[in-house]
Amino acid sequence: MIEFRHACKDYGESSGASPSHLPAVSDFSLTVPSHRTVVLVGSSGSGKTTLLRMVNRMVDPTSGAVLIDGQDVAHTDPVALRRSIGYVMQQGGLLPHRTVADNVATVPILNGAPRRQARHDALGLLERVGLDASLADRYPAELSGGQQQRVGVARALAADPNIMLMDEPFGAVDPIVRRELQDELLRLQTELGKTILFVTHDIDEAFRLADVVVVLREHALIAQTGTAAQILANPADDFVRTFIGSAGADRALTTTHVDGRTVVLDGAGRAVGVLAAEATS
Amino acid sequence: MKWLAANWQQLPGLVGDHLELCIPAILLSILIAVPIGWLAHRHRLVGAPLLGAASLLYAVPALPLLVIIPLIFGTPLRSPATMIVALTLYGVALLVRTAADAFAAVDAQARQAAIAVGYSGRTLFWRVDLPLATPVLVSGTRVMTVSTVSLVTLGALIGESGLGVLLTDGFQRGIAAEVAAGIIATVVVALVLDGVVIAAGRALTPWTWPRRQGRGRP
Repeated sequence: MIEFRHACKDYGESSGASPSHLPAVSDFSLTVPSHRTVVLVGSSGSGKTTLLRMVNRMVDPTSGAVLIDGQDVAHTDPVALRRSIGYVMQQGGLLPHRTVADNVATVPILNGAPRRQARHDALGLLERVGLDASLADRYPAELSGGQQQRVGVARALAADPNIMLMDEPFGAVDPIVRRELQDELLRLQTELGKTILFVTHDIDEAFRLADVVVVLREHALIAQTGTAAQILANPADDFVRTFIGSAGADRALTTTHVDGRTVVLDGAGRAVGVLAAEATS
Repeated sequence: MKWLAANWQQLPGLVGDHLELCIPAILLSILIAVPIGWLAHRHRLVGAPLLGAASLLYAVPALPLLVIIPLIFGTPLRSPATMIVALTLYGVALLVRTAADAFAAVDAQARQAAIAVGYSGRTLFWRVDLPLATPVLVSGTRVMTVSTVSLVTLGALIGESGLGVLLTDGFQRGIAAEVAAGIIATVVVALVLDGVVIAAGRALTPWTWPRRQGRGRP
């Protein structure tokens, strides 16, 4: 379980131009329950990456606290803390000078695991994330973006952490690959049940992956917290409505009957699907 | 050519003397310049004056430097040690700025990712910063190596043996062939050492080699 208690982060003089100076993160409180996926979604400037980095002490809050299983991370050794938490970042954040296997084995080796064992485990992890073990001796630059991203996930899993932090991990790949990676993450999560804190600016990604979606406005102020269905059914305000796109045409769906089936149309009248119960009849 | 036919046996000995002066200087320059470059990159406040001082050092003319070094370092005026100290000072002056740039060129995202997964302090330097800075360090070392090989010829002026002897002797006695032999031999030594640096650089940075998809690691 990860708990944010009134966390604030002020980077200082940065926003001297704005009349109402607010810090990057202003009084943020949230509980991420164990074995659940919580997605922070917001546009740039919403402080979502700062929030993520508070968990592994890449950023220390100016005030307030972040607790993992009841323990304030401020009292832990940052290096040991980081090795105990899986971290996946955009483009995988792989080390370009290490082979795929060495990248995956990074944390076990830092923790003093025997090289041979760590390498052997790395091959198993590659298969777990859907990669062929023959890629083990390649360098990251020799992989596609989607493959690099999978290696990034494998590396985060290597030390078998309870917590995974994911910072827009699928932001730099094309939509089809992104979809595959999202499915892969959902499959892994049903197998592994990690506590995942995931950051994205893509509301559709948030809805697909999250048990709980947290919509952020600027300065990490929470606009709404809830499941995808709750937020779609009942957007808290105009900000959330605009953000999830329901103010536009794409989420205002209507149905029409064609040849005895119910066809779903978007706001512009384009057919986007049929109702499932009838589709299979 | 008559001169070469009569004196070619001198060449291997002179090349050997030349290498004995420049190789220690090149290695020392790397050992000193890389940590200073790293320091200059990590701590801007210390770095700017440090890099400025290094550039000034390179502007000190060679002859006065050869006279000052014995006074400061206590080496005998005419000795390989004095020559090596001088060459090292020039080598460091030439390499520090590139070294600082090399560390600045390390991909910030890769570095952040390394910190995020738990690299710190010494492991971060040896396993992330240094290897990722190596390609730029190698190009700086190539320039410094060639420069050092040619600077060694100055040693002849304080009586240090090396290919420079062919230049001073050839000028004094008006033997054009000897001067030409000195120049050509120096250039050849520089090219060979440059090749050694390139080969070492390649061996240290296997991830930069272009290779075909599907081929295993050698």
